[in-house]
Amino acid sequence: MNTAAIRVVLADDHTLVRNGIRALLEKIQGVEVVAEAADGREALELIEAKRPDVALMDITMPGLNGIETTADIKRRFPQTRVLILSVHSAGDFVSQALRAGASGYLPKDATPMELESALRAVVSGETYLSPKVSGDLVDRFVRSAGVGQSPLELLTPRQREILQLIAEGHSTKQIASRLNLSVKTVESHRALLMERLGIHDTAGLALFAARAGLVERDR
Amino acid sequence: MAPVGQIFANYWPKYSSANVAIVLSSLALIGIAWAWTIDRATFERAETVATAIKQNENLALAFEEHTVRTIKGVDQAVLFVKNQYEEHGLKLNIGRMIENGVLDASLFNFIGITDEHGNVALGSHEFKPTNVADRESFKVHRQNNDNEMFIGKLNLGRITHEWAMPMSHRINKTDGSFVGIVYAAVVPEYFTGFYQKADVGEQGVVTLIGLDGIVRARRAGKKSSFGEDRHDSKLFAEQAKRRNGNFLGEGKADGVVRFVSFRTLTEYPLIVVVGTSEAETLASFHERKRSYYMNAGFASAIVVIFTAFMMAALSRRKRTQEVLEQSLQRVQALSERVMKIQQEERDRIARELHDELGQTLTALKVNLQMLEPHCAEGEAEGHLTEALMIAGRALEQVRGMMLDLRPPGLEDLGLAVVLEWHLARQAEAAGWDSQFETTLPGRLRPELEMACFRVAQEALTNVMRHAVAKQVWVALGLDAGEVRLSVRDDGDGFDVALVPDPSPTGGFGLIGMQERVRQTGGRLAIHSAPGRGTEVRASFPCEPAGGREADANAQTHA
Repeated sequence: MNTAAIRVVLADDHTLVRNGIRALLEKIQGVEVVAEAADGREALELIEAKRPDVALMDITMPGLNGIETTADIKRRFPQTRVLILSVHSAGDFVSQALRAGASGYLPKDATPMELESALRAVVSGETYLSPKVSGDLVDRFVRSAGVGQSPLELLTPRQREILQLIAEGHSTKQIASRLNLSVKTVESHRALLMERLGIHDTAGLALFAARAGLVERDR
Repeated sequence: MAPVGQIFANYWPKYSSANVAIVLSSLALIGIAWAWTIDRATFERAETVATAIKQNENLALAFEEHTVRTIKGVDQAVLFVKNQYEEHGLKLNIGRMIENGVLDASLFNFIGITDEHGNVALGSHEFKPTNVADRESFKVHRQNNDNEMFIGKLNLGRITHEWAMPMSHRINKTDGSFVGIVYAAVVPEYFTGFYQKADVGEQGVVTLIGLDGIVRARRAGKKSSFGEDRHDSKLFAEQAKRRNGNFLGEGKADGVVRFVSFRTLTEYPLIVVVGTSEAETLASFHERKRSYYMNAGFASAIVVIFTAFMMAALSRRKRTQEVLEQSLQRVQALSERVMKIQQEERDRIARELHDELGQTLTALKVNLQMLEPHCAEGEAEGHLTEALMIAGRALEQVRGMMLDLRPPGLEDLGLAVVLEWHLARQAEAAGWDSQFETTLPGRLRPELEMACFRVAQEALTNVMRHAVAKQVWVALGLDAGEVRLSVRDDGDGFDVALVPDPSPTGGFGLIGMQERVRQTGGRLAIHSAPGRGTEVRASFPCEPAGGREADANAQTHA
């Protein structure tokens, strides 16, 4: 699928965040940031001018907020997909964003891998919801929304390795000595991967690993 | 009375029911006092009048007896002289009879005998030749041959030159032909002398009057009179109806109103009359009446003053109450304002957290994550992982603070969803087993959802701070037009009575909850006992919000 680059307009009122995301996007093969906007109105003008494939949209922006901007985009430029980037990781704004016509919803601190997955998913017409926001609460409201990629892709190879070891029943100490890492580092990895998967206990991790085929279910 | 009037003007419209009651009871008291007084006065007047009339009647009776006795005495004397004259003829010496005591002369001032021509033949005193043929008595006796005594009108004696009442008999020859009359001249004062013995007052009157209407003797006060023609007076109108009786009448001569008793003599054509002045009779009564009225007036004044005091006290109390209510309202308004300011401040802080700190941390984390592919091994891996962890934790903390300050999604998702989510978050943090139940059919007014959420949030914070609980139950429901919230735990519990109200640590939470519930018009109850857990129950009166949220929810569910 390396035909044409995915053209992206980035809208966020925080320069720091915008710069970070832009740097992140530029690292991804086949993604081109065609314009940056600091609020909803500017974003609409830029979209009209550039006709991008995807609009990466913050929700809380001065003037026209992300949700309203999304609704406007969907009405005026239906070919442009909207991917929401928000600090609100809970399900609160998700249903509103989806109702307004957004194709996906990501936390702002998404990893480069998750961001890429999300971009590709929405461009190919799927809906992408980050595991972080697709917990119980969102499930109840957005049953129909599917998750395009396997959540496993959200993890670094190291994290996948650690997940598997955890699921196999190894203690943090055992994992640390086996991987030649400090206990503290393993603990940090463990916390990060749990956060990225939206899973909060060891039993949940084991179940997830079994489903994803990292370990056999019988064990 | 001026302050009373002012009080009326100022407070009558506001507190009319209490004032009406006070004024009515005062009027009733005054009415009772006056009714009693007037009744008493009426009764005493009737009694006084009855006594006076009774006394008059008795006097009239005595006067009648006195009169009859006097007339009979005179009659006997006249008949005795007549007998002696018939026996002795012109040789009879009447003067000697009186001197000898044979004849009692105290009843008359002259007694004499005439011949058939009216010339006085014999007399008790010496006299010049006198003719009385023109006198009524003589004419009556010459005409009527009977044995009756005739009582004439008063006339001036031709011999005595004194006014007197003639009482006379006819004298016949043996063949029955007229030879003259025997008559006695009776002094009218003799009859009214009775008056001196009887107390009929300064303006009392005693009268002897003939059926012919001519006064024979009258004494009013110290004044004696006779001869007046009174046949057209009220007395005769009354006497025409009955022989004896009483009436109230105005004296023709002096204009004095009197209680009058009269009796008509049976044997003689005379009426005796006794009258006592109404004014004199009622004088002592009027004095008593005046004192009664003064007493009643005094009592009325006391009642009026007491009423004024009561109304003044009432209005003072009402004023105090008003002041109290006003300050209570001010305190409540202040607490509402404090809560509003608190919420605004929270919103502001939440915004700042989101806009500044949150975004900065996000940017930091994004940048750190970009390092991941370059630091997959060795020392760098450890530090990066740690840094990511720290950034993530900081972001979580900011997010948590934001959520506490301003429950996100309450407007969009509704109370039940957000409360369940909040409970789950708290339970995870505190390690509780949590259970959430809701039977709320739809959305509520935003202020109500906020109040309910805040109360639940505060209650859960209290559980976390104080309870040491293993299990926490939160229930939301709609019952009888009220939203019912229950937050229950199995923790330590406490003695509700022992928690001081504004306790510096947890107590303010209770007050905050109470204030929130009060502002929505609801009720808050806390059930707890040491070792038995705690339950906070709040109920809020509600009408469910309009259809927009309900529809939106339905869509989201579909």
